[in-house]
Amino acid sequence: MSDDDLIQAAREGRDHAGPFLVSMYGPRVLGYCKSIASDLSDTDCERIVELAIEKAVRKIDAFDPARGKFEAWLRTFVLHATQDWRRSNQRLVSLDAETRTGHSLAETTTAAKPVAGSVDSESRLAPALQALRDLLPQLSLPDQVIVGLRDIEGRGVDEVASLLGVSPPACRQRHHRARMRLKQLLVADPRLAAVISGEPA
Amino acid sequence: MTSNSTSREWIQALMAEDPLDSVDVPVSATVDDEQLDTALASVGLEALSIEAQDLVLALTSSVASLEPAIRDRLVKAAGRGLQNRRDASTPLPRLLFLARHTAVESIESVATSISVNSDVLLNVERGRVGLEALEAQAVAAWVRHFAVPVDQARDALAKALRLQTSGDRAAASACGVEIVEASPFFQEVMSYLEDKTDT
Repeated sequence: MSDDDLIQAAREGRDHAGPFLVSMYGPRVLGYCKSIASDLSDTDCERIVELAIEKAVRKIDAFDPARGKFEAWLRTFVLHATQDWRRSNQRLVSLDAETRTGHSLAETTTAAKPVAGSVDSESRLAPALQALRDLLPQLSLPDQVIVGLRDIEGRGVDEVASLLGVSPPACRQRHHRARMRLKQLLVADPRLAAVISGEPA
Repeated sequence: MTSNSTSREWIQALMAEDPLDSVDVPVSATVDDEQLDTALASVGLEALSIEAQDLVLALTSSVASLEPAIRDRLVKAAGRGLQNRRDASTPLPRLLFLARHTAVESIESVATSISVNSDVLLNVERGRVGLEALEAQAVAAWVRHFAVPVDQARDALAKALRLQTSGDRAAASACGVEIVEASPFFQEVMSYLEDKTDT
């Protein structure tokens, strides 16, 4: 079964799309999850991939082959499910600490600030997200790759340096400069001004 | 770019073409790093060009073995997603039945909430009688009661009316959408749904 056939079958809600999707992409998305969440247990990763697959199938209409590979699209769901998982876990840790200390930790934990994927942050950041989607492909290929590995996938410096065959300091500097170039593109975009100033676009 | 090693060689060559000391990038203080981190963590790999996506996928390709039990769980998860898709494109009475089932609400409670007779509502929900057994305003209130998005309700309403008109699913799919959407009942329900002040 080709990707096109699989996606069409899933769009039509056909039962056979599920087993095919898992056979074709299950090992890869689980491997991906384990690689970006090596601190989580295998059981956690499996649950995250379960949630990601269910959501991806529900939203399959949003997949646009003109914008990239199906695997890259599936990875986004795994990435967001992992972020959600960490966030809910962090809340539990925070609640537990509050119970023990009697003090609210809300302002000192990252769970309290807007994070990717929440409804509030998504609506507030919508113009910036669209600007990013439009501008990221304008970076050079190496800049896109390093931003993709470090910022989008959240991989560590040492891992990315090893993947790219450069030293960690060179990787760090290269990443910093890629972000600077991205910022230069972003500040020239009027959609970002609204986000920076907090005004609606 | 057919293997990880080829991808790595290729990106390493690209990195070498752009030595660090040849880059002159003025620091921009206008974009907040935390905001940028949050936004980048949200966009996903498909925000990159297709060539960059290919490279990232090839560089980081990692395969985990699927135990039979895990495979079953993933297939079931995909199945739930597929079922959700089928439910979302179901005729309106069934869609609202599923919503009621999910909300664990009695038919009497819904009927009271939208001010209709519970027996009539049950008969409509079960497909024993057509949607027109209810007033258009009541149908709109029923949709609102379960917070069904208007676009989804529009599709589900059209599907239900097509089925009622043509009698079976095969004929319903052949029945023109335009004909159904031009019907007074459809238009009236949609006008209530689109005008929040009326219901």
